[in-house]
Amino acid sequence: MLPDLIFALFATGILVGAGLIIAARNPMLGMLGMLVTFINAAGLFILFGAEFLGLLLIMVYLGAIAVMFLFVLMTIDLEFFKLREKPKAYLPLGLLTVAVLAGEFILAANYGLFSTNVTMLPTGEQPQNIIQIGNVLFTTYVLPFQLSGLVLLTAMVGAIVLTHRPRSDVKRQSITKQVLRTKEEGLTMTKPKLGHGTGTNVAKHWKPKSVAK
Amino acid sequence: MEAISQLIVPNPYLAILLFVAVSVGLAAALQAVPFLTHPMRRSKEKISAYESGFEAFDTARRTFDVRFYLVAILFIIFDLEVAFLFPWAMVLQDISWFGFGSMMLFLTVLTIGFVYEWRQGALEWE
Amino acid sequence: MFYTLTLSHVLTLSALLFTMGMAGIVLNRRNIIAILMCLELVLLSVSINLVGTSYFRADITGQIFSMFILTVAAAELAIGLAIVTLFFRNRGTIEIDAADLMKG
Repeated sequence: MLPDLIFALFATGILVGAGLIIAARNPMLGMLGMLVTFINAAGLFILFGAEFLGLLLIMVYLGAIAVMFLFVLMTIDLEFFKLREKPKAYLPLGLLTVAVLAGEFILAANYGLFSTNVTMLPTGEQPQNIIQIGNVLFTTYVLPFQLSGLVLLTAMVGAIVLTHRPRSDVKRQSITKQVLRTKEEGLTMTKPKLGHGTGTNVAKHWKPKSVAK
Repeated sequence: MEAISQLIVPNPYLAILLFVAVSVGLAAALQAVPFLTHPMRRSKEKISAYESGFEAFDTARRTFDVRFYLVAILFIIFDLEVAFLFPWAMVLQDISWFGFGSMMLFLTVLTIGFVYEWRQGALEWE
Repeated sequence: MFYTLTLSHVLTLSALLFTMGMAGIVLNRRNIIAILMCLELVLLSVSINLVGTSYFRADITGQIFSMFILTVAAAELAIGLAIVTLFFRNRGTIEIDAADLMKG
């Protein structure tokens, strides 16, 4: 009885969080809904014995993706409430479609094609969840695994190409250049006469810094 | 009593669930009790923002620089890379050199990305 | 472990979450960030589906692919949010309707 109740608890949490996301006018409230959803989903995964995946959900979604969403919300100066809200013409049709879709899904899940009542529970002593995952992830599913590596590479390169703008108005330190500097290029030896300055005409090379705005 | 212990033993995460439930409940109670019992006499001065005696000059919502976002993205990529390393480290002695090699290939691909971002200067703060 | 819970309940939860994500896309049609959040909901519903099936069929494959979904979701979000910031910088808004340069 208890596991069923816990499932109901987590399922309610997930749906409440999802409702908060789709109804929120304020994006920060939407973020809160997302946190609620994913914490409950992590609990649900752990309830289903997928401990590693549940903890991964917390690590990736709450630790990284939520932070990324917040950074974007802070990066763009959001006047979220001032989005135009005019045409509602598509709304009834869209919601009708979605409702029909939900009905079909639920019918299919409950009276449908799958023999959903069959439960095959593992027999005997099972190894830890993470060991079960590791045993097949790097051998049987090596190809999808490598593909996910390529997907990550694409995301990394794409993000850099899209958002990285090297600034030209900032002086950088190049340690290599600094270390490899020789005496000849950095030093000029002069014997200045009294009252004539060094004579190297430093002023010719000196440019005034651009005034910071 | 015997039945309850039978119920509890199978999933060791139940203790964590209880812990979370108790802490959430306690926090909610500690918020709710003062809210329900305290006398509420609001005045204009009381509920206004306090900033060294001045009126606030503008909103607290300042926009961030995009560079923070770039750091967040690079963090999430390497976060996932580490997520794949955990099960690999657990089963390394069972999956032989093939599993080892597949992870090395994965790491090589991501290292190419890492070298790219280093050369692009995405890691420099300026 | 469960007494009355079957795969049907998990599939129903997943279906509800999926349609809530779709409804969110319809409702918040203008706002790119809200749409991205709703996409996350849709992906999560697929993950729940896979993990539930993995439990009731005693097969680890569902969890493996749920992990790949997690990877793809993170990569998609990284690119998507980068596009959002860039779009905001160029057009000064995050309304989808503002992306009409290719409209004939």
